[in-house]
Parts: sequence; structure tokens; C-alpha cells
Amino acid sequence: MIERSHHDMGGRPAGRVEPTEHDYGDWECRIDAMAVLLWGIKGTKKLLTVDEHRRAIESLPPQAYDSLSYYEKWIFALAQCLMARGVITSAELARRMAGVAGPRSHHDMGGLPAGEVKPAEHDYETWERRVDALSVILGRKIRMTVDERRRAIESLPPDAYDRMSYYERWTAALAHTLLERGLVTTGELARKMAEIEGKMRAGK
Amino acid sequence: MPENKFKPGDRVRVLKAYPPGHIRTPYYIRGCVGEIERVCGAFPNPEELALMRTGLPAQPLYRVRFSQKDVWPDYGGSAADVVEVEIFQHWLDPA
Repeated sequence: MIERSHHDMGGRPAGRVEPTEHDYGDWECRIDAMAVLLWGIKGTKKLLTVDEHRRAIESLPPQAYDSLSYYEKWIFALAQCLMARGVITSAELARRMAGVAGPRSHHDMGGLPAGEVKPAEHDYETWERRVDALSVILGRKIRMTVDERRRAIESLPPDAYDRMSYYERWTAALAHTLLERGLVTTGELARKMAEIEGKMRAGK
Repeated sequence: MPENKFKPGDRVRVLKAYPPGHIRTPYYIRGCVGEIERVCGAFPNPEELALMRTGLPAQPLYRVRFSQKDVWPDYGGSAADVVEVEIFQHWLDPA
């Protein structure tokens, strides 16, 4: 599982902090203004909460998180939030962004070296079968779509994506989707994960 | 349902854009020019399905054929080699 979110870096070395003020560019002021309007605090329709926005910033791939400036992170996250709310679609955004260079999603690795592919079959373990069965059931019961799961898998941080096995990715994606759908809460999941961890430790 | 803008044999250019989201158009094929090989039908838009919406109206999906030499600058294989990718209509423009 993913132990520490990349942004959650309290206590880690982070280089020197430059305490100097700087002037903001017009584009930075515009992004800030857009966020204020979306928050709905000026009588406009509320289309964003600070926490939605933060969550989107924290979901940026680590490399992007480290290389983007403050307001660059804001604008990427605003786009994510507005798509999640259905205010804009990725198709509309794709049209407007045509010609603008952009990053490759980590999973989207067509043409890149990926090592040897081992075509041998293997037996699935009980937990893997359970995860598969759970996915089928959720597909029927709550109409969880393949694309929701794919999106969640593709949103894993690159190092987790590379390290996890196939069904580990599925498990992380299921948890993500259930949280997003409001069927479990982060608090419930945290309790349950701590409980299981405790049992595993006691069993050793 | 949106009308089919293309038919087999039409030359199309894949939109060269990199928006965030669940995009089923591979990175390596964006901006490339190919030819419609067949119309696959119409399907709910996966970009919307991924966000718990209906993805309707269904979007036309095409199988597009590209010359490998056009896709990979240093391609060492035969000039006759092709790669076929299924791409939704909203990612295609006439070429």
C-alpha cells in the first residue's frame, strides 16, 4: 500500500526555505481570482471546496508536485476538480489545450522500454480471487464502471504503480472508488486497516 | 447521438493535447495522421464514465490505422508495418 503521501513531508529534508516576497504574474492573479469565484464566497455558485482542491493538488504525481510552481499546481488541480464536478469535460479541455505540450501519464507507456513480458500463467491466490469477485459485485450493485477503476489505477503515484502487483492495484483502486462514491469513509477505512495491521502483527 | 464524421479510408489527425483525466487515446499516438480502418460503433465516453457520469450520448469509436514509420521516428521494421488504435471521434480531426 502507499504509506506516505508525497506531499505529506513533515520532518523530511526539504532544502532551504526562501522567505522573500515576490510579485505575482497576471496569470497567477487570474488563477487565484478564479479559485475565489469557484469557492462561491462572492455570491457566485459554489463549484469547489478548498478540500477538493487540496486533494487534487495532493494527487499530483510526485514528479509534477516537485517541479510545478505553487499556482501551476493550483491550475492543474482546478482542472481536475472542474472535471470531477462535470463543469467542464476532458474533451472540451483537450480541444482548448490542443498544441500545448503536456506530461505523459505514468501508465501510458506505449513505445517505452518495459522489460521482458513473462507469458506464463500463474495460480491466483484467494485474496486475488476475492478482489476480482468484489469488483464484479460492485459492477452489478453500484454500477462501478471499468473506467472508474482504470482511472483510479492510473492515478496511483508512479512508484506505487510500478511496485504493486496487478490485484494490489485493483485493491487500491477499489478503495479509492468506494471513498469517492461515499460508500466508505476515510475514517472507517483507517480504523479497519489499523485493526488488520494489529492482527497481522499479533499473528507474527 | 453525435453523427459519424468519418468513414473508412478517411485521413484523420489525432488531437495533440494533454489534458488531465482518464484518457483512452495513447500518448504516443497524439498528433499522428492515420486512416480510418473501420467504424467500431458508438460507446459511452470513458472520460465521463471514469467520473461516475453516464458518458452519454455515446461517442463514435473508430479503428485508425497508422504507418509504424509515421509513429516512431527511428522505426527499423518494414515500411508496410502498421499499428491500429481505437480512438473516439472527439479526438480526431480531418487531415
